[in-house]
Amino acid sequence: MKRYIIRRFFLGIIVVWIVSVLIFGATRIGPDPALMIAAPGADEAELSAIRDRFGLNEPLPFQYAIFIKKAIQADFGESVYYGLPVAEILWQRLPASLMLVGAATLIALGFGISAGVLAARRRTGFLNNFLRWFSFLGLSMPNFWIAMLFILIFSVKLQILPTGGYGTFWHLLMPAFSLGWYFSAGYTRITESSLLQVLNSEYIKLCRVKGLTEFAVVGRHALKNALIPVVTLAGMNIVLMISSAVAIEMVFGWPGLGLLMYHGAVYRDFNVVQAVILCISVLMVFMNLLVDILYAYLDPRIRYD
Amino acid sequence: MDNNTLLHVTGLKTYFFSFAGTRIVKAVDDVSFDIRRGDRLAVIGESGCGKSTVAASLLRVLPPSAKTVGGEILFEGEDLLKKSNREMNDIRGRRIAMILQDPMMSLDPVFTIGRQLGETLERHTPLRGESLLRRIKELLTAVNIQEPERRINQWPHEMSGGMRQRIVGSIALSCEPKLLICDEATTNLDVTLQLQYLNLLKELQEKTGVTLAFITHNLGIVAELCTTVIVMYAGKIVERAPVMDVFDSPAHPYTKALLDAAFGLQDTRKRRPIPGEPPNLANLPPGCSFHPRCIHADDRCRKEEPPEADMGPGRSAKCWHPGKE
Repeated sequence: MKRYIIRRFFLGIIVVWIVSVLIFGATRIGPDPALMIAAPGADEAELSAIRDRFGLNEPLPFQYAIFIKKAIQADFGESVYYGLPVAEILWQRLPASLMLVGAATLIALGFGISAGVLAARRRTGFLNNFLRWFSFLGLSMPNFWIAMLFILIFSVKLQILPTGGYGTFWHLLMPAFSLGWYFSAGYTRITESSLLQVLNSEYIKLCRVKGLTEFAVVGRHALKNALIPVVTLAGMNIVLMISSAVAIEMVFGWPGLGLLMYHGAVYRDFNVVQAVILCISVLMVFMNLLVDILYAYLDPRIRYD
Repeated sequence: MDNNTLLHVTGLKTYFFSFAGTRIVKAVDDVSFDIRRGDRLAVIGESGCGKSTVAASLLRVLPPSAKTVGGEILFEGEDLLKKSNREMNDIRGRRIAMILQDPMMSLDPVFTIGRQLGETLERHTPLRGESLLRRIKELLTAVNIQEPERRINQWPHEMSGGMRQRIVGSIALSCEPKLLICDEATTNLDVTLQLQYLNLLKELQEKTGVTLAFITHNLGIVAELCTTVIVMYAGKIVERAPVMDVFDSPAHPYTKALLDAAFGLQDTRKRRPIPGEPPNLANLPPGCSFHPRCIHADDRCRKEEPPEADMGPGRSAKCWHPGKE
């Protein structure tokens, strides 16, 4: 296991490095960034001053080498648009992003798993129908649409939640729910189907025959087995969630990495785009490693060595 | 009911309801039998004749689509059908234990062996901590598991099929039950392991005095191990007899056909399969359920259900022509 983690760690570094090459290339493919940064009608002298300032006159491999060298020291250059060091902006935005994705994941997993357990235990009735519709709606509606519906209902009509912004618990509610709803539906479905399968298994029958209480049978034995595919799905969803968060952050003006990346792309703030994507790729590698470790803990049949 | 009777079942009826109750499958229909203390009972019959449903009815671990609709199950004088599920949980695993058929599948893959043994003991006995651990090791040793200290922390997938089956056996015997039901417990083991396992069970019975009930279609087990035999066909008991009588002079044509199908292993010319297949339990033939496959069937067999004919001490056969050659 230890060897596996170390190997995965180094693989992760390679992944991040490949991402860095790709994103560096992508930000340089477009027209000269200096044209975007300079005021309209700037002459050649002004443009070359800007190029000098951002190191754009150097040959590309050289620029890349400088980018990587500085990135390792957590220096991502200066933001063209904000006029601040990118690292500083990143540190400001990261907590908001983690908070949003974290809260949405908690909502999605908490709601999804409990709804899935209920659905598997009780195949009929009002509650089950309600849960079915709830997850159906969550899967069907795009999250930015849900976000706008929430604003319409809770901010405009009921006037109980702020339309956007960041700061209090109340600000977090709508963004986290609109991001989490879609994912909770997937968790509900997969928990239900895998729990149904597990409940029919021979080892659950043995647990019953042993005289264990229903709570121990379902809560301890069935659930631990049924959660294995849920963890697999969660691992994949983290990737999706970070990218879905961009739309949610825009709708609610949530000052996270997604919004920062969006603005960076719009204003051709290449240093910001590079840094955000690099940061997200590090997060993803780290989260995937975490999921793999959790996976090995849940299922002893999985040994990576 | 005297004190020697451990289990007394009368008129047990367990039906499966499918398609919202429009289709009723009488998996167990009016079954009565006794198990005496210290007995080794065999329940035999083809697949789908209701043997396993009898076992599941006794412990009340039926699938949701099945329901016991009538009868009485007196276990040590207490009617199990009148107990709440909570009361049943105190009986399951402690006073009546069961071994399921598939050793590969009946241990939870995500819990260690020690944990799965320990939780049964924790559920039913006051053993905790050190004494619990000691008891687990004792149990593993009793079923010939070497190095119990190491095995306690291992997972089911790290063990062979035979070991898993023995561990399932040790779980079943952990709380010293009065009755142990083995539901086709050796079907998925290879022949040498079957024999080892059965000898182990016999040995453990001699030590603990547990009463055994084997549900099986393996007549070898019956001959080797059991004292009394019940033959089931289409949800009903068609013959009951002491083991030697069954093999010497089967009274019901179905029993005879089963024996003919199984033995002749040495002489394949003598071996002959039972013609046809077990009837659809949702749509039983009139009269005797076995008549379409029976060589002695006459008009009465096709119209009237036979009564249980008394064939001497401890023997009966549900047939119009019992013992006919």
